[in-house]
Formats: sequence, structure tokens, C-alpha cells
Amino acid sequence: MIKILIVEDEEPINNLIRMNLTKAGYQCKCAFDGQEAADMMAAEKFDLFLLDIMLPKINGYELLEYAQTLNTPVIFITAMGTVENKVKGLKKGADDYISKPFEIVELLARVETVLRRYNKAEKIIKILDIEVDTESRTVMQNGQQVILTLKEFELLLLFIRNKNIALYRDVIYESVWEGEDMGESRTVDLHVQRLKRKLHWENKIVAVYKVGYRLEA
Amino acid sequence: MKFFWKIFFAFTAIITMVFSVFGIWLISQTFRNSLNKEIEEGNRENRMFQFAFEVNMNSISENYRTEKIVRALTESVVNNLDKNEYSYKLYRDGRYLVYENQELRLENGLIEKLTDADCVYQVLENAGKKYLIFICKSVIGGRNYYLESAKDITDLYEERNSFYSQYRVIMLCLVAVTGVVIFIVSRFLTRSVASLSDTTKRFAAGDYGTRAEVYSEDEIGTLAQDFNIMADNLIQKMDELKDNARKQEDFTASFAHELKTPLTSIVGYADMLRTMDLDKDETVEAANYIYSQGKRLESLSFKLLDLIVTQNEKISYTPHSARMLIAEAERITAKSLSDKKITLYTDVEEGTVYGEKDLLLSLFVNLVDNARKALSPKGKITITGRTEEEGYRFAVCDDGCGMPEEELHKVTEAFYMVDKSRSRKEGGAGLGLTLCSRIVALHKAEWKIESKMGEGTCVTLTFPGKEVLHEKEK
Repeated sequence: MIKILIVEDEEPINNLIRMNLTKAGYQCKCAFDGQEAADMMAAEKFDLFLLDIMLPKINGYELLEYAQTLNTPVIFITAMGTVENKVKGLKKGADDYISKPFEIVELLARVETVLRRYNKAEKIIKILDIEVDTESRTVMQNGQQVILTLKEFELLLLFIRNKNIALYRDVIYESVWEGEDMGESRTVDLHVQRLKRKLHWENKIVAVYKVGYRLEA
Repeated sequence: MKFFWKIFFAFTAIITMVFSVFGIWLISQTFRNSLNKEIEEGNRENRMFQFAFEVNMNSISENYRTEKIVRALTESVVNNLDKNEYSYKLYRDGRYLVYENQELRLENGLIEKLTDADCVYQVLENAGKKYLIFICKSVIGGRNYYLESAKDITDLYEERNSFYSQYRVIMLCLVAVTGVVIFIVSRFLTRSVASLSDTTKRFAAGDYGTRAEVYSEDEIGTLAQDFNIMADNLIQKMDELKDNARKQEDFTASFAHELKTPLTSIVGYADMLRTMDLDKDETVEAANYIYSQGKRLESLSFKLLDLIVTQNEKISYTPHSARMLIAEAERITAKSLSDKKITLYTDVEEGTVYGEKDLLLSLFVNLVDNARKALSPKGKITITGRTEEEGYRFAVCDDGCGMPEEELHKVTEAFYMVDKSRSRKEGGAGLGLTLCSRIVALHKAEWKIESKMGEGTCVTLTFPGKEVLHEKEK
């Protein structure tokens, strides 16, 4: 189980992140000031730190230096979204930077990317009745390999990473097809239908009224 | 042309002209005097010649007046006159020369000019020399005799010319010396001007630390001093402007931060509600956060609105009852206080406060709110009010957590919070006291914040009475 430390002095936001990461399947601990965070960093082993920069007692940049000695990746979350601040944060060694306000989907994606870079992400994802090998890009179901196209595979991964979260059609389109404007395209629906059929997941990937789709797992 | 050269040429030219004119005048005056003297003398000589001649002629009877005798007579007269310098001539009836003592022929038309009256004279030039000639007429025995006396006055002219040349040389030296002196003097004068000009150029180019040298106490020195004062003022203004710009930037950054934070929560929890299947507890939790953060935004935007309004700097000074103001503030804050089980005691004397009701209410509500945030449940807030000599004094005190002394001067800065987490939890953004200080200033009142960590805080406000207000308005 991947353990993430959330350091943010605003309680509502800290809680928001915790709720979402927990639902995504990570184990989370919370700290509300720099000192508390440093103590927790020293006491337990974490796989990832989410740090706010403007913290009481010890600020995010200083915590970053400490985290680097622990060889743990860091993502900065903060309201100071100017280019200067972003560059400063990244130059100091943060692995990524997300500014408030952010979409949960974006946060989850960045968390995952950083974890993957550090080889902490699960290479083999076991979910429901399938096994997905992210390295070889194969899907096994009941011992049988399920052949998926490139786009279908990406779509499957997107659902898995955002399981139980309703995904808007345009979000799906942007993620998988990296296109800006979906327009009148029925691509997303067609691909979802095909995926459902191939995996026999008609009941698992449900359509969400006026929104898109959700993988229930 | 440069001022320096203008001075130089102007003065040199003037001095040259003045001295030239003066010199020439002097020399020609001297010459004229000498000439007049010669003329006087020449006149006298001629007269004497004439007189002697006439006397002698009249002593001879007419029969004896032969040419020979006349000639001899004239000769003896001339010899008696004993003047070597003069040349004497005697003419008869026009141009017939009877006698001359020197062989000197001077052509002149004077005889023609001679009327019956006396003598005529003229200055003639002959062979490079100048002569002064006198001629007069004597009528003796019916015959016209013309007596001419002439003197060589070339010397006079030569002297004059010599003076002119000498003077020319002197003038040249004078001009040269004057030129040098004026050059030095005007260089000296314009040096300080040039120096000031250089300093000004440097300043304009960006060297704002440069100042002018003050060489003297005169007008130019004063100008240099004034320039320095102006430069200092300019630098000060520039620093003020830079400071203001920085403050503005800081304000905007803080404001952005205070805005984004509650928004993140609202958007985040709302997103969860719409995309996820949350259970009952989670739904309520999310809704609560959305509500509380929304309220926080509301409070922030109202405070900001008030800040903008109070920038207008003009309020009306209507009288209000101190008691009514506090009673109203009490009413407004009643619910939030009772929620936290905090009691508010008021001991307000009757009195008048001049200003705008809404702003005054805002002021007191803010102070009570701050007290509430600093208190733990069952805490106490006291508001007192007394009429004083200068006006009316309020005091809003609490026995809450207090603030450290070092922070007290910063508390009115926009977005500044002594205890961030505590303030945020209570929905604050750090603008309350900023707003209060504006309202206090607008009402021409004075206030003081005293606080001790762990013991509490007391804010005293003194509002001006009628007379003081009138004075301050002037």
C-alpha cells in the first residue's frame, strides 16, 4: 500500500486531498504545520510527500530539502502560482508542482506520474477480475489474454486510475486522445462500448447521466 | 554661442571701444588745444607785424613810399620781430610780392577771401609739411597791402601722429591683457555653472546619488544647493513610489492567496459530490466544508468592498448616540457570541459620536469579532464608553489569548494575521483591523491597541468632540 503524507495548514483542503487519495487507494497521513510534518517524516516511511509551501513553523522549501535526504519524491501544492514560484520550486528539486485551485483528477494523475517515475507504482494492477501489466501492456482475464487496441488500453488505465470517480466525456477525450475539442465526436462512447464488450464489463463501467462513465470497483 | 564666450567677447569689445574712443578724444583734444594756441600766437604775430608795418609806413610820407623803401622798412620790422620761425611776406595790390624773408611759396587763396575786415588764417600743406598762414590787409595811402605770416606747424601734427601710434600699441597690450583677465574671470564664473550642468546630466542619466558641489555663497551656490534639495526630494518620492508599488504587489498576492484557498475547497468538495458515490457522512462533510468556505469568501468580499469604499476619504459627520451604536453592534454579534458561549458586557455612558453609522457599526462589529476569535468558550468581552474632554472614548477589551508586543505594529497590515491557523479556522483573512484603521482615520479619531500574551487585548478609541472636529476639518 502506498503511503502519502499530506502537509497543508488549511484543514478543509488537507481533508479534501486525504478523502480523494484514500478513495483512490492510497494510505494517507496528515500534518498541519512544518514541525509536525518534519516529525512525521522522521518517524515513518512514506512513498510521497504532498507539501504546501506557506506553512507555519517550517516552510515547504525547507521540508523539501529534508525530504530529498530521505530520497522521497515531493509534489508542491500551493496558491502561489506564478511562473517564478513554479520555477523556484522545481529548481529546488520538487518532482512536480500543482497550484490551487486544482481539479482532483489532475492531482491524482500527477501523483501517479511521480510514483511511476520512482518505480513505486504497481506494475501489475489487479482489479476486479483482471490483471493489467503496465509494462508489457497486456491484460489477463481468467487466465486468458484480452486483446485491446492502444486507445482501449489507455482508456482502461484511465478508468482504473480513477475508479469510482465519474469521468466527464471531454476529460476522457483529453486524457486518452490528447485532443482539445471533442466536438460532436462519438469516439469516446464507441471506445467505451467496445471496451465493455471485450472485458464483459457491462455492469462495471456504468454510464453516468449527463456526465460520462464510471468504473465501479 | 556659449555664455562664457559671450561674456568674453562682450567685455573685451566694450573695453576696447571705450578706451579707443577715450584715447582718440584725449589726443585730438590735446592737439586741438595746441593748434589753437598756435593760431592765437600766429594771430598776435600777424597783428604785430601789421601794426609795426602800419606805424612805420605812416611815419613816411606818401612820396617816399617807393617799393625799395617799403621793402627795407618791412625788413627792418621783420628783424625787430625777431622770430625765426615765421616767414613774412608783403603783397601789394593783390599778388605782387614786395618782400619776403624766406623763400617759401605757399599757394593759397586767402587773399581772395579777405574782406575788408581783419585777418584770415588757414592751415596748408606744402611738400609734406604743414603751415599756419595768417594774412591781413592794410590800406595805406590808398594802396592795399597784404601782410602774410606763416609758421611751420608740422611738429604739431607729427606729435599727434606719434601719440596715435603709441596709443595704438598701448591699446593692443590693453586688449591682450583685458582679454586674458576676462577669459580667466568668466571661466571662473561659468565653471560652477558648468559643474552644476554636469551634475544635472549625470543625475538625469540615472546616477541618483550624485549631488552638486557648492563652491560659493552667491546665486550660483544657492542654485547648486537648491538642486541638491530637489534631488533629495526626488529620491524620496521615488522610494515612496517604489514602496507603494511593492505594497500594492504584496496586497494583490495576499488577496489572491486568500481567494484561492477557500475556492479550492469549494470546487474540490463539489467535484467530489458530482463525480463520486459518497455515503451519507461523507456527503454531509463535503457540504459543510462547501458552506463554511463559502461563508469565508463572503466575509472576505464584504471586507474588501468596505476597504474600497473607505478609500474615498469623504464621510459626513452626523451625530449618533454612543449607546445606540453599541446596542446595535451587540445585536449584530449576538448569535456568533452565544454560539461560542461568550458574554459581552457593556457599560456605555450617553454621548455623541460624529460620523457615518454603517462604518462605525462595522468598526465595532469587527473589534467584537476579533475578540471573539481570540477567546475560548465562556470568555468575556467588555465594552465601555465615556464622554471625555476631547470627545468620546470607547474601550473594547477581552481576556483572550492576546498578541505578542512585537507583532502589534503589524496587525493593521492587510492580510496580516498573528495566529494564522486560529484566524483561518474562525474564517478570518487578516483584513479586519486594516478596515478598522481606515474607519478610525476617516472619523479623525485616535486609537490604541494594547495586548499581552495569555492575558488579553484592549482597544481604546477616542472620537473627537464637536469643536475638535471643526478644528481638525480645517
